[in-house]
Amino acid sequence: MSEESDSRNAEVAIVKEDTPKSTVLKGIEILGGISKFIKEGDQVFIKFNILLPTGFPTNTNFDVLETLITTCKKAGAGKIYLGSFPLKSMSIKSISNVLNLEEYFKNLGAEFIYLDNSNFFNKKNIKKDQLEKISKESFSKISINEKEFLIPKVIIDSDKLIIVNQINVNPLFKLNLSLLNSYSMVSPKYQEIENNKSQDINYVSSDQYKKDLISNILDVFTIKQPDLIINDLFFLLESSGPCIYRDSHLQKPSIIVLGNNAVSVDLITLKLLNIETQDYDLILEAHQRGLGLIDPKAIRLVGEDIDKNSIDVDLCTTKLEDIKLKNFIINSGQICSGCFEQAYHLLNLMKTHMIKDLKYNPRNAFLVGLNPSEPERFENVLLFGDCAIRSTKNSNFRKKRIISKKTSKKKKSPQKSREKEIQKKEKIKIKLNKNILELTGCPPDINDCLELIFQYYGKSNLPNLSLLKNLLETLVDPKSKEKLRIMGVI
Amino acid sequence: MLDFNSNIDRGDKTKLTEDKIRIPLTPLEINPYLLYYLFEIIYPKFINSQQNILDIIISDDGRNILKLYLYKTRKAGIHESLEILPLDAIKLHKKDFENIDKFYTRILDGLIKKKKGRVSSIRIFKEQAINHINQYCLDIEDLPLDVLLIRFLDLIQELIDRNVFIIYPEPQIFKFLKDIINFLNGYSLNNFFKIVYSYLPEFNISFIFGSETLTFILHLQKIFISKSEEPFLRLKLLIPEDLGISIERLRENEILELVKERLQTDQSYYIYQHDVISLLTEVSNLSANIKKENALLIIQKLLFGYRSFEKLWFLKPKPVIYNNLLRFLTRLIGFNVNLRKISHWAIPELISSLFDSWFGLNSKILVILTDNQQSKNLNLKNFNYLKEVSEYILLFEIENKTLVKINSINKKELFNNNKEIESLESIRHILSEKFGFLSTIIIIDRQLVQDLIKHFIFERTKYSPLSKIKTLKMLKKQKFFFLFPELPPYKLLKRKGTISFIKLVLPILIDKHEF
Repeated sequence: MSEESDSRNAEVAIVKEDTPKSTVLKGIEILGGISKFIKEGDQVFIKFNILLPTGFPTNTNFDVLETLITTCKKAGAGKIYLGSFPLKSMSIKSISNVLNLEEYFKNLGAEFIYLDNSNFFNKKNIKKDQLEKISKESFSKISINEKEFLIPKVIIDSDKLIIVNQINVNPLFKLNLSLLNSYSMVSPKYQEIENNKSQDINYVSSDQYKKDLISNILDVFTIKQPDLIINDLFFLLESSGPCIYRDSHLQKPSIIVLGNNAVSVDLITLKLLNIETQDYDLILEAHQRGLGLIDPKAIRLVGEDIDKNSIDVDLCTTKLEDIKLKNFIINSGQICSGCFEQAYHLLNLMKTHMIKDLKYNPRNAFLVGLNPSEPERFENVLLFGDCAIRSTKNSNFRKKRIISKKTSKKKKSPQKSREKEIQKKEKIKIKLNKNILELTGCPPDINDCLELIFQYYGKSNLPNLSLLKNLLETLVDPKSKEKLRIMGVI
Repeated sequence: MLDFNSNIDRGDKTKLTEDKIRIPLTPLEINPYLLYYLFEIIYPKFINSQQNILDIIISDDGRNILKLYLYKTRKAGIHESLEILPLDAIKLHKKDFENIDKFYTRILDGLIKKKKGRVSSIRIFKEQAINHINQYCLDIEDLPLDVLLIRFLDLIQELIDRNVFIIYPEPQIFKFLKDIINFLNGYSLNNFFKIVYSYLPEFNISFIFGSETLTFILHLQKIFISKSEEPFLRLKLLIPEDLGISIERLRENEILELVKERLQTDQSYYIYQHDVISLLTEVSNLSANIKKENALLIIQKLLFGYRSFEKLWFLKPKPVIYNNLLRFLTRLIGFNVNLRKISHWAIPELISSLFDSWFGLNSKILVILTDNQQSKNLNLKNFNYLKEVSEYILLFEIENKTLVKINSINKKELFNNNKEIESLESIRHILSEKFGFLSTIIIIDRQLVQDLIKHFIFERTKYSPLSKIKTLKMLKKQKFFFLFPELPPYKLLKRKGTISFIKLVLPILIDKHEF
């Protein structure tokens, strides 16, 4: 499907039914049936969300996937593959093990693909060169806008690409739209924004990070555009997301938006959720690149009425200060999207999993961004990101004023040697404040931050984090990290 | 009872008699004053706090009134006199049951006009309901209590399912019961009782419900006459005077000592009546589809109550773990087990964060309760043994952190073919087709549940750390407990030694600061 025809013939369906299964089926039916998208013998790749090995809605609704697989099979699809890249440092094998994905999809007649080849990691005697060979064979190198991306060959070689996207709120882009979903077709290494200019003040003020990120997302999107896009809002994660946090909860609009053009499907999803397109830079940029239309009137809309079904969604907070953490003062300076997103996740993670730890460690200040304001009444200062560390080098909190009261004893007269006059003198010493934890990086990595926090406060003060670390260790095999590096995934 | 009620005032202990009176719908005979008192404290809280009740018995087709009884109550729930009203005192209209509110107002107006006074509550029984109640009451004196309870739960389910009993204004507890029955989706209430009852070990316990007005005692026993026979439940409701105890000027622990000695119970608990009533009120005010926030609040309150030993409740014999020297020695070897510092605020949060993260905000969890003793040759290489040993199979549906439905799964339907169960994925596949994606399967053996209940609830007065650790070790063995897919908390439990796992979790369960 060419880009031009894709935009011009954009067709989007809004469907509301009782169950996710019936909603998907009806949606495909009103778009003209599955045969419009899948031809007999087609190799289909279904790109869905697998961020973490946790429950719904961090990942796609499996009822929707099951329905889609069955429908594709009915249309005569030759092979059906499914896959996605998860968050950094997590191998796909570890997620599959926790959710038993390989066997689950096999029973449905589809194949779950380990895009990072982590299914080879535990093979006996596998050597570095063998892994490198596997990597070369399974990835294609593609250059776009002078950037190089490694993309799994299975996606490139598939006749049809379907994106099934669970709509969750997102701190940076308001919502996880299908354009964002397509970004995890490439590994975390290629999703990272290279930042050589963080010393430059304009980098932060112009939020170059976000601009680069949007550019990268759209570059990846253009590598292979999907033929069918499903934005699943049957259940919608709101308040805090896209992972499950303490304040997260689900809304049930019972709606699914689907169509043949990702930008149009995302645009209609935004309209449905009362979010102005003018504020949505990802869609605007996609439009400027000719990847889709931003005029809803130019899209052929079928199914439910958009105005009658509008949904009010509680989006993620845009201020870190609004994430209320017990015993924490949060001060943000001028902040780029990279640090904002990582700080948002770290703070929410602490709020969700470290309730007791927060109570045990009083008076903390969390400073983030360029020139954050000076904290008051604190015991510990956490400096998040290189900008915060650099711009607070001369801040008052870096020094500690220690007031010592020195007692000098003077004899009043030689005759009355027992009579002493006690004189107290105040002495102020300035010392370096050692109660500062610097979480380096631009933006810092959350796993590294957790490790540093653990070392700083100590195990006995962090019973929750201690348990969380143990739980995460069951997921992440330290040996697999090196193998992921060899694979070029991280 | 009506005569007794009409001649008594609250606190009028001179009315304590040697006579006994039967609690309606039960074979239990208790002191009439105790019955009066129970109605006085329970009825206004859970049913209706105003006076006078009108019972209307109508034909099954709802066209005719068959009987009209007016109970005069000076205090809510205390029936003092019964007046049979003429049938024409009220007229039934076709649409009365579609708008009970309107019907109630009409009855009220009619009775006021006829100078019969105000009624605060109407109870409408269809003839069928009376038949069900009569059927239930048949030979109740000869039935063991557990059988009677099963019958009683059946009666409630029948009355609600068949819509043959209406009470207006509808008390919260009745709504709660209706919700529960809807929520069980055809599964009978008595089955739940049977499951719970079958897991309880033999016990002989008394609960003393303390109050300044009237303290009463509930004596509960589950007794096995012989190993071959079914156990039976025995319940007695007493007042201290029945045991020859005068509790005036006695402290809680002294009362406990005496009651334990007179009733020869293994354990005796002392709880304040107002705490129990307030907890029950809160539970009955919840929707049956318990939202996670509400469930966590209740857990928090229960844990707060639990940590308030010898403040809000008392136990004899006093659990050894409260001995300071023993606690100190236990702490020296790295275990801080101070139950007075149990973290009532952090435990619900821990449960919540673990549950939400690993099971998700929406999930379908299949729980298979097994009894491995039913199989002589338990082969754990695959899961075929489940066909033989599965006792109860329940599917819990959770939507947006709220338990919305429980489905009972028929064992024969699930294992109807002769296909080998190599992996639990095949079970997930079968059920996912019918109910939607099944996120988790949990297999729990009867032995584990019984041991947990025995060692951590019924034998909590003993120290016995080894038997407690042994019970926790059972969680690591597939024979007793299995989680599919193996989620990280379960993997951690299996990987770590039991003692180091306890050491890891204990600082979250118990607060650090002793003050």
